[in-house]
Amino acid sequence: MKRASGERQFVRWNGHHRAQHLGVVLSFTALVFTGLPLRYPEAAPSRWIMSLLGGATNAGIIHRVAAVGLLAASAYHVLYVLAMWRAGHRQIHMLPGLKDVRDVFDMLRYFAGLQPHPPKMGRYGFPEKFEYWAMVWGTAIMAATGFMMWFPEVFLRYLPAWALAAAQAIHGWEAVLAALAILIWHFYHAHWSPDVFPMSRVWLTGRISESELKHHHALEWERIQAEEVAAGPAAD
Amino acid sequence: MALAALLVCWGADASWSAGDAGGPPRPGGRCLPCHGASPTLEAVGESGATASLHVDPLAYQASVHGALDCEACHWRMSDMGEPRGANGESVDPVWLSRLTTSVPDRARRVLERCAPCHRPEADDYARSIHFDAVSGSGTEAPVCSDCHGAHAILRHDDIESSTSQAKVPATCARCHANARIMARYDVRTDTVKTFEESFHGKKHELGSKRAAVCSSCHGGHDIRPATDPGSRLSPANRIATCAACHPGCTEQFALSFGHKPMTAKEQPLVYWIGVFYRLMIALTIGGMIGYISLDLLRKALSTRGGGGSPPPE
Ligand code: HEC
Ligand code: HEC
Ligand code: HEC
Ligand code: HEC
Ligand code: HEC
Ligand code: HEC
Ligand code: HEM
Repeated sequence: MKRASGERQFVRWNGHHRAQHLGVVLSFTALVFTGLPLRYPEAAPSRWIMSLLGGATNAGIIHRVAAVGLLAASAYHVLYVLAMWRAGHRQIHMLPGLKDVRDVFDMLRYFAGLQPHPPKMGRYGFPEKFEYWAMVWGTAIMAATGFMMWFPEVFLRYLPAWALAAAQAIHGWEAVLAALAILIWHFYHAHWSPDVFPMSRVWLTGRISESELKHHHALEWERIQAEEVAAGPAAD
Repeated sequence: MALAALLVCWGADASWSAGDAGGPPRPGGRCLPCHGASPTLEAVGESGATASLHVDPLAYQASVHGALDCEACHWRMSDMGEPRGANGESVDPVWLSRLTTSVPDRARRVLERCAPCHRPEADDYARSIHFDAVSGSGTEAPVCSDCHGAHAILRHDDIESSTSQAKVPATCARCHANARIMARYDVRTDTVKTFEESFHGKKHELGSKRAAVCSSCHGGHDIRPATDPGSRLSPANRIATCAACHPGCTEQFALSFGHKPMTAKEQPLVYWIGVFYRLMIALTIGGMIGYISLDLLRKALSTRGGGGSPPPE
């Protein structure tokens, strides 16, 4: 493990993790900026974005390219998880469990001053799990309804006309929900929270400092400690 | 006022018609010196209503008809009714159509003026519900000049034209978003709003040049109610109308737009999806904001300062 600025650093994300995250960052941002103007066409920012992108038709093309990008990043992720499973990594850190429900309540009790410490969380705690599964679910919905809007003539060969109207409505609303959730929840935990402000650098360097790991992912830190003890004294 | 202007008009004015350097006569030369001179030139009808007699010379010359003389449309002015001056006195015959002729008469006359040079459009228009209306008692339905204007007509591929793809919705909206007019004919007033909410309308609002506008679906001239077999949107014709831009259009696809407002009654599914998501957004985002506020509050109150809590031992 490496040291920087005197403090011990741990690898949290390897190259695959970071590549998947970057793929989602780029494609999701493009989708939001090319999709939402169509939902709010009268808003002034929508016009700026459209003139920046060279018109509504271009925006539609970029949206479709980015959609393919998002699905490619998702496919990469699924394949990676499967490959890790086959290689023997059977612990899926993102799986939610009863402990996460308890953690939510413990966290609220901590906020209310009823307990001295926040709950100890593993590699991924309930804030991350909540966001991850919202993203999985959201992407599935956006892809299903998005492809209906992409090829409406084809889908309406098999479905009634109201299915397209419903798909448009769901796609538009889910987009608002997703964009707000990222803007508020994800950006708070990864950028604006005083703990990480101005930004957690995990997505760039893949590394997390020992104090941050201890503070936010205490169980993960303990697990690593235990592994190191089992493996003998640390190399450095 | 009209009378005075007329007198001057006929007496005038060699300089405009001959051009400054004595070149070939300019279009409108006999009329523009007066009609082009003052934007306030107007006639007053028997009822006291007024009509502007002003024609903007520059706009006229920049228009598709800029090379025509006024007489191309206003030929044989004596054909055009018996207008009267402000005090009801007889004046020289000139076209004061809005003020002095009945509506069917005005429609017939405008059509007569334009038809010789625009036969296909005039024939289409003569089959439309708009023409049915104006040739009956439909005072508010459009004749050629209501959609195109009279003296500043531009090609429809000029974005400034009132019948360009960019401007058509606004041109139709002048009447079709006007509750007072539409109520009289029992036609819905929300057709413009529902268009704006539609996929085409939103793309159009964002400046798409390809999105369908009113006239892409209804036509510009042969407009009929969708229930009429002659309409481009009749059950028999609708698929072909959409297929012009949507190859592979099926029956269900052709039914995917019909100005249905997003109300519980007209589009229950879309409506309830909206209700569901509003609730979801309020709860999720509200919950997130609540959580974050508590987190920040805890951090602020915590004696350990911005670093949060110590590592649990
Ligand atoms: C392309 C055909 C056309 C040409 C060319 C044309 N006009 Fe007209 N003009 C019309 C029409 C149509 C109307 C009637 C408008 C209406 O009733 O909506 C009209 C009406 C008028 C009126 C009366 C306004 C009113 O509301 O009753 C005046 C004055 C007039 N024109 C002057 C001119 C002058 C001057 C010229 C030449 C510079 C000219 N016009 C050339 C088509 C034309
Ligand atoms: C209800 C509005 C409306 C009325 C009334 C109307 N037009 Fe048009 N016109 C349009 C629109 C919209 C277009 C644009 C092209 C299209 O979509 O058909 C157009 C296009 C045209 C064109 C160009 C056609 C081409 O494809 O090059 C001509 C010429 C024309 N109109 C003449 C007339 C004449 C003559 C009349 C009266 C007999 C008339 N219009 C009445 C709306 C109207
Ligand atoms: C003397 C013949 C003549 C008369 C009368 C006439 N026009 Fe035209 N109009 C033309 C010509 C010629 C053009 C084509 C100009 C061009 O292509 O550049 C034209 C073009 C147009 C266009 C634009 C077509 C396009 O490509 O979008 C419209 C709209 C139009 N006229 C409407 C009218 C209306 C409305 C009237 C009656 C008020 C009328 N015209 C009377 C000769 C005439
Ligand atoms: C000057 C006012 C005016 C303008 C401009 C106008 N309309 Fe109309 N329109 C009317 C009136 C009035 C009626 C009702 C006629 C009737 O029912 O007798 C009507 C009827 C219709 C109808 C049939 C409604 C029904 O089902 O009974 C359609 C469709 C229509 N207009 C489309 C258009 C389109 C498209 C445009 C623009 C290209 C347009 N109108 C421009 C006044 C206007
Ligand atoms: C994508 C095609 C499309 C476009 C664009 C469109 N319409 Fe329609 N419109 C329709 C169809 C389809 C119907 C018939 C609805 C039905 O089946 O009841 C209709 C019906 C109408 C009616 C008759 C309503 C009634 O039942 O009384 C009017 C008026 C009308 N449209 C005006 C407009 C106007 C104005 C615009 C532009 C702002 C416009 N339309 C744009 C497809 C279109
Ligand atoms: C003038 C061309 C034109 C006509 C005519 C036309 N459309 Fe469209 N339509 C478009 C364009 C352009 C788009 C946007 C395509 C894109 O960029 O995704 C579109 C999109 C749509 C969509 C949205 C598809 C999606 O992605 O969700 C529907 C639904 C639709 N049209 C229905 C119709 C129906 C129904 C008709 C006939 C009543 C019709 N259109 C006629 C040009 C047209
Ligand atoms: C994952 C696959 C996705 C696909 C296949 C897809 C596809 C589409 C298509 C084809 C359109 C029509 C766009 C146009 O023609 O300009 C559209 C609209 C839109 N998209 Fe997506 N999209 C996807 C994901 C997303 C995401 C992740 C967002 C934002 C978070 C988003 C936001 C929007 C919005 C707001 C609209 C406008 C909807 C409206 O009509 O109100 N999309 N999408």
